[in-house]
Amino acid sequence: MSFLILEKISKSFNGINVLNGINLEVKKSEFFSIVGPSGCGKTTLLRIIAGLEKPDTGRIILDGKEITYLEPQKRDVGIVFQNYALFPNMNVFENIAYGLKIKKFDKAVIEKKVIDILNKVQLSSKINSPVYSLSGGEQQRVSLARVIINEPKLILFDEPLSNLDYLLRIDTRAELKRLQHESEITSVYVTHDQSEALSLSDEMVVLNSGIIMQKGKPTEVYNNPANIFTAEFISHSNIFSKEESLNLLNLEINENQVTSVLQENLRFENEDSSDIVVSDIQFSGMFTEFLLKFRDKIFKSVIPYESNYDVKINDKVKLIIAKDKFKVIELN
Amino acid sequence: MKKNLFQILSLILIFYFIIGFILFPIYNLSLESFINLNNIILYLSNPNIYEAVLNSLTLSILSVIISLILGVYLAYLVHFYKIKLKSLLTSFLLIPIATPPIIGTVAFLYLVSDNGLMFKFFNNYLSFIKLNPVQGWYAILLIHLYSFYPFFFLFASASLKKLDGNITDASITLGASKFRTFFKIILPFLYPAIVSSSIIVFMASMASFSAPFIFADNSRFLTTEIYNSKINGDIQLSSFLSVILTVLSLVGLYIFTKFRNLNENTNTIKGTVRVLSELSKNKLGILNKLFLSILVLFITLPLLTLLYLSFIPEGALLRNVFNESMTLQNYTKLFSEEGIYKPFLNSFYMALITVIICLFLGTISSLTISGKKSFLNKFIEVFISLPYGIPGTVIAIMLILSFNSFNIFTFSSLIGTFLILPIAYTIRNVPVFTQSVLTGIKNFDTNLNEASYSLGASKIKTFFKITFPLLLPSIINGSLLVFINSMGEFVSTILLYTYNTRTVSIEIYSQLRMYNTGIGAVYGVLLFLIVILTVYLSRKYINERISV
Repeated sequence: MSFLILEKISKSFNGINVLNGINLEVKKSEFFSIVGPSGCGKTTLLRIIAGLEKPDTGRIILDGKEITYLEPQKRDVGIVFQNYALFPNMNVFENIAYGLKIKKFDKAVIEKKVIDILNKVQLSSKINSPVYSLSGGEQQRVSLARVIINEPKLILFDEPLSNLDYLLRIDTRAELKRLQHESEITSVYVTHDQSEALSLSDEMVVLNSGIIMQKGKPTEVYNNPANIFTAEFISHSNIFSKEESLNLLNLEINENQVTSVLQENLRFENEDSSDIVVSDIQFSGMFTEFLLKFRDKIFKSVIPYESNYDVKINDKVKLIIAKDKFKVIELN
Repeated sequence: MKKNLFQILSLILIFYFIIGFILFPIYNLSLESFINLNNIILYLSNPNIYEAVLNSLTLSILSVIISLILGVYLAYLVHFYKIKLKSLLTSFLLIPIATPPIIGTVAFLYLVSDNGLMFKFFNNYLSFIKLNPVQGWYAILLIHLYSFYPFFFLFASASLKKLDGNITDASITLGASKFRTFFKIILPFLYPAIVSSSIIVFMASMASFSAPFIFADNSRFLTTEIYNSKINGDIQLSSFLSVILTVLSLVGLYIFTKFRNLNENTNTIKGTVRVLSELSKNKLGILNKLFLSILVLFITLPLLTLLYLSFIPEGALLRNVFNESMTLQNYTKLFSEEGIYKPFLNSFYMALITVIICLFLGTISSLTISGKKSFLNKFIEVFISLPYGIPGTVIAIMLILSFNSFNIFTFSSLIGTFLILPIAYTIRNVPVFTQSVLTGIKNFDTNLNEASYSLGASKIKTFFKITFPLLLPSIINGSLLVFINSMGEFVSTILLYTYNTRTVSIEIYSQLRMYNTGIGAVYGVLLFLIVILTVYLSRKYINERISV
């Protein structure tokens, strides 16, 4: 039995459909991601789960109880916001103790719990600091502690890492995963960053224009995109039309199909008689990205860095792709 | 740095103004109030003075409290809830700020006093409801609430726009009720705005004259006592009371400023998502809608009363007016009888003269102040803004003491002349104008001047082609503000006017004393229209400028 169930959730603002009949199931203690481009409706969906918005239609069931129209205060659902949303008039301790004070916990208990949680997020020394004196990463850890301390049934993450620098983002990501794992609190994580979703999630869905494009485990979604949107947005795959598949891959598909090939699976070698030209080579550290041009179409190939590529810009090449690396996608 | 001729002339003029029209009057006031120490001992044993002090302070504190509650609550409602015609409502809510105090006071008198229209209305049509006329303290507080809540509303609304919607969402999802969120999160966030508006309202209440003057019955207030003792010929008492009033206002200002500094470090975060809640779903929502409707009535009824009475022949309050037909005769009188249109022209000319002097004096002052940081410039800034903290009644007393005979600044006596009124208005309004221009200068990007120099333009050319045009909106804004303030000025006027120099505000008041409602109402309506039109034009002009 799933812990969180969304049934046919729809929502429109000013006549524009933002969510279109969303169905989702999240298991207990699972780390579940919703990934999609900006404007796809993911934040609205999160706010509906939190009770900050009401859906036009549909039901939400949490832990066996319908909560669709329950007030946000009574849902036992916490949110970690992108911009932290710490209370500026309170210090670190007061921010974290806020929820426990509302539940009228004993003073000594609150103090002990706050100290414990601050140890977990490695911020013990900042207990009495005003929140604006903290760095972005520290503020986000306080924001997380403020939610976890209440042991909610569900934590919602609204792009919590987006405001952080790259390196801090990677560190905090690992920390987040550890804390979620330890606390075993069911988590729904919203992001536009597919690598975040892939690395953190037990299960994920891809959302576009208010519609779920695909559900599954990160590896399934990445390796077996069910549609062009997922193939491009999640896997950054190359998409070949019927004609291109025949010409370049020697693969016969029908009109209602395309072929998708991951960038790292697209290999090539020099071939003077070929129609494919290397139009650019971009070195980016660990990998090198080759842009290959066939007529008006550009394909990408990503290859681990080697110092002695024998390919140069304007070289003619032909593609070499193992048959099992083709994914044929049905168009609807 | 060597100063050029223009700068030297500016300094001479500024110092002539500061010394002659601010420091010299203050000196005379202090001198006069302690001129006979025996009298001081007499005053200090006079319970009436203690009553006036206590009443003024109580009135001011109560005014702050009620305006705070109404203004902040309104700002909260407007910010967080879906309300139909919200921008119209917001403009409505700000009407009282543009209403000259004397007009607001008289309009309320026409409405809620024992002869007032509301009373008559209930007697005529709903006689089963027994209504009590609003008088004395209640009336004064009602008028203060009407005039002062917009400050809290404006300041709190501006602050709420900077509140991150996620912060209130965070509080709610952590289990806090809306009530708790309001008191624990939103109110602390509004603290600086609340303190700033409290300062303004406290000072304005201490200085308030019109409402206590007309409604006070037997209660004594400092402003009205200053006026009464002057009329009774005890100029030392009125000076002494003026000093007390000014000192109390400044002490209040000081205390509030301390409060503000206490909480300076609350930082603001740029606002993001804000989901407006529905107002209509529950009982509380219906109550709030009712509350807003009553409020709109509260704001419009006094003005509608004025408008209605302006079409009814004189003496309406003594008759049962609801059976009478409306006529334009009050308006035709205004244009045909010299005695009736003269006060209007007087007010207009005086306001115009005030604007011209402020324009000149204020512009050179703000340019000087915003120049190099020096002791001299700081001195100018402090002393030119000083009159802002001095009630109008006190300024009038100071002028009477200073310019009633030969003196080295104006040579001849000015009391009883036409000129003394624009001078009083100027002293009160130069701070307003200077502040407006200084704000413009502060927002001015000095890189623009440097860009102009680097493109080869001279300093003079840069001033006229770049600096001046960009400062023009704040100069115009300041001028219009000065114009509005001067057109309806009553507080110092009533101590300085003569029959020939009487202004609209004086005439509104004397019509009231004669139980004449018609002409008074016409004056009120026209003055209000002029003010609203001026505000509208300045807004429009400035919005167009900004959108460029």
